[in-house]
Amino acid sequence: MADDTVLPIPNLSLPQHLFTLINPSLGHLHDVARKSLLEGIKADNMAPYYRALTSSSGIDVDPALLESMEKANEEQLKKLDERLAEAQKTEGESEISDALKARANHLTRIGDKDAAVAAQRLALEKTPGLGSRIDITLTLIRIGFFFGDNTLITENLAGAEKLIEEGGDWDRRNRLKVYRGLHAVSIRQFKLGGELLLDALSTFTATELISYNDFVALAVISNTLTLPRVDLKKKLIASPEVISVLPELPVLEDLLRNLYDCHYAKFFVALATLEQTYLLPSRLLSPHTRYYVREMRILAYAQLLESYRSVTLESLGGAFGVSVDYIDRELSRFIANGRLHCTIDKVHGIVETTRPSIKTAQYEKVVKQGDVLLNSLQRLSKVLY
Amino acid sequence: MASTDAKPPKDGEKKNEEKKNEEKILTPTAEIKVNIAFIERAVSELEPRFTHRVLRSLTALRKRTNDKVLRDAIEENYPADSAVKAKLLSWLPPATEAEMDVDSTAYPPSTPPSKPTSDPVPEVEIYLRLLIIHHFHTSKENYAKSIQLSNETVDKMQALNRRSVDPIAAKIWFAVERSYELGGELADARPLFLAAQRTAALRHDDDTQASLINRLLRSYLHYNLYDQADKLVSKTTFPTSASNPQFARYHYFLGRIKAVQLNYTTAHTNLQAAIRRAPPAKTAPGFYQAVHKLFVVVELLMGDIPDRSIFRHPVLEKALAAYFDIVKVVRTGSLSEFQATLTKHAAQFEADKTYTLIVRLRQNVIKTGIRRLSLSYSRISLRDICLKLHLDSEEDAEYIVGKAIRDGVIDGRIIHEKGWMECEGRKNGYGPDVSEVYMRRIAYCMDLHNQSVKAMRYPQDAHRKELAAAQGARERERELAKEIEEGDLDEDDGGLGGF
Repeated sequence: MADDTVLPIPNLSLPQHLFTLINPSLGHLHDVARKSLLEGIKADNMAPYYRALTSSSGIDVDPALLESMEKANEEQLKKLDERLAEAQKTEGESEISDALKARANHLTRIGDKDAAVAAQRLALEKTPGLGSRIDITLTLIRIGFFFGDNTLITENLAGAEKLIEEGGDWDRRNRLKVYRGLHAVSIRQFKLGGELLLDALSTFTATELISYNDFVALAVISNTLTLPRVDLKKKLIASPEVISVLPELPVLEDLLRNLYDCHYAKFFVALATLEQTYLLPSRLLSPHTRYYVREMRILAYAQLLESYRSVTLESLGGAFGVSVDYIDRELSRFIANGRLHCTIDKVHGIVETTRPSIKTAQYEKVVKQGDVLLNSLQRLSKVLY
Repeated sequence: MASTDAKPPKDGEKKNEEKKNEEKILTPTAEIKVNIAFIERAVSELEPRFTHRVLRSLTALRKRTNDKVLRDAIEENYPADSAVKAKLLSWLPPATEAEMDVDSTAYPPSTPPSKPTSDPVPEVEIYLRLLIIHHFHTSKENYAKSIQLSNETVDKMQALNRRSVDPIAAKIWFAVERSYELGGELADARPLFLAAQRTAALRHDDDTQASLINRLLRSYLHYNLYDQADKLVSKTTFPTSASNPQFARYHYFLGRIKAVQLNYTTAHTNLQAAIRRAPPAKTAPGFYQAVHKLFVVVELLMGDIPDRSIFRHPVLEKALAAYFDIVKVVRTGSLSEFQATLTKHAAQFEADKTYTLIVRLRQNVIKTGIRRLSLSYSRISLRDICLKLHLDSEEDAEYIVGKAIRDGVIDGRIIHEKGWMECEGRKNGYGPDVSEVYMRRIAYCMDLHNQSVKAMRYPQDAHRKELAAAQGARERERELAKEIEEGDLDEDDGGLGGF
């Protein structure tokens, strides 16, 4: 089993369905999710996962199904263990490692987290080839994604990077980039994640982790937020992969183009639709929904205000397709938090922009960070007494 | 002094242990013996460093002491017929049978300790008394005894009047206060402290003075006697050479007094100094939490919203949960919610003694709202202010805004005829006070650097290695010289021609 294509285990679409089911606000998607979830579980005989599921969430246990799956699992496990014992007797290194890998993969497939992690780690130690070791580490990362275990993901990401430094091939290197990008986006590091995903856009092969369309969608979402305009046009809008996938995701197309072309009213509509249809239902992105939408709004306001010295509240409202009150509320919030640089003259209904010099920002940053540093320097003075 | 009075170990002392005895963990008794040796050395060489080193290990050591350890230490270090020894032993309960048996198996037998022939210096006695007092604090029935012992020790110290006792004396004062507090008679200790503080000031005993001023402030604030505490602060000068932990406490107490007296800016600076001088959060979580609670409240009273990252600090997360709620409520600016949150956490605020301060925040809810408005709006009508802050009428709004402008919370003007308020934009820019701001920080860094240079010392045993090396070099030189004299310069030997 030297350089096979990487198996799509554990099946990462299942946690997404589970998330949909657990979330009461996504009731309209429940039926579809439930069906796909059960199908997936049956296909892979995922008895331990099924048991863990039914005890924690509101899905009913089907005892007959559970039993049949468990029986199948046990048989399979016995067969694999026999194979392993034989291989250990005949003492061929590669046979042992193959048998170990098969066993570990079986446990991963059925969704038994602890046993799978232990078995994969064991296989990792005994496997000689660098490529296979990288693959096993990637499988561990996938298990982490499946169960949402961030510590597992981070430690294995570090391990995989080290292994790849030692001499991984380009295919695996790009694969790891996708993994890292996905993880970064899931912990709200949109800038880092966006960069990584953009790099891996042209060489994407990691279908076991995430489907191609989802991948491109994620890349577009994270980069729209963080890329400056020039790069937005050059790398995202003009990129062939994005162009080929966008027709299937009209919301994203609207979002991207309207932001670039400054059609703010349509942009807002697209943003709202995106929030409802894509961000909230997604397992990875829903905790960051509010943050994302807020940052996009700030981006849009800043972009518009950049060209004006002063602009009336009404024309702002018209440009964004919202009421003057709404604009007023939003702007006052963001100005008070220091995100936008302008002031509102409510009496005459005007917004005036101020151009803060970089010097002020730098000065404040120096003082603030310097104070933090001095506070920790304080500890050095303990030695004096 | 490098150690804090009440809080857990420094990691320096682990290294000390190892340096002292080549990778063997010392039993508590043996450690006390080594400490005593250090104290003697400190007295004979007039170097307070050794005393400080001994005291650094105090916090870890006192957790490992029990009756037996203390008794053994006294036995080992005093000659058989010493009066002092008898006195000390009388404070400890006598040895029982069980302990004798445990003795043989508990600790690996080391070389039998040699009995000294004369009394060690009185500092040692004070040190042992300190250990005994701390030991008494651990069990309830010993509280009364600890008060007695503390009194006796204090009299002895005053009588002794030796400068080398000073660092230990400062620690004793802390222990004394703790005894009184545990015994429930904190107020009684106050005259004792006052008298001692006067003597300490006369004798220029900085450590003790610092410790005593802190004790006094603490006892005043414990009974809410803010006036007296304030008078004490104004009449005494806190010694500048006191150690960081003492400074941290002093600034904290100062901050509390100023906050109660409505002097929020000074309180803020003081509390910030306290945070800076405090030991790191992991070693002294209690103090850290207490200071931060007060810090958050003072910042709210000043009209600033404290930074959210404070509340995510692992040590502070749980303790400051109630305060986080208050911060959120003040931010939204809703009075009814404020009231609700206040009643919800009232018990905790009472316990932290911040309740009175938080009640004052009621005005602040409105003030913070106004401040945020002044940041975003350059001109806003009073009617709109009224709507945004959920006030009852425009006159109300005008009155409150006027008051805020007068208090200096915002920087603006009310144009009464037109019915609006104007404010200048933010101006924390790169203004004329930049040089001052930088200067303060630079001065601090330079000061730290200079003091560190002054405090440098040669490493302890390095000179011995150098001596050995020098010795070896001299030997070789002598041999070479001998060879030159004897004229043993064979051609094939190539002795001196080699270089």
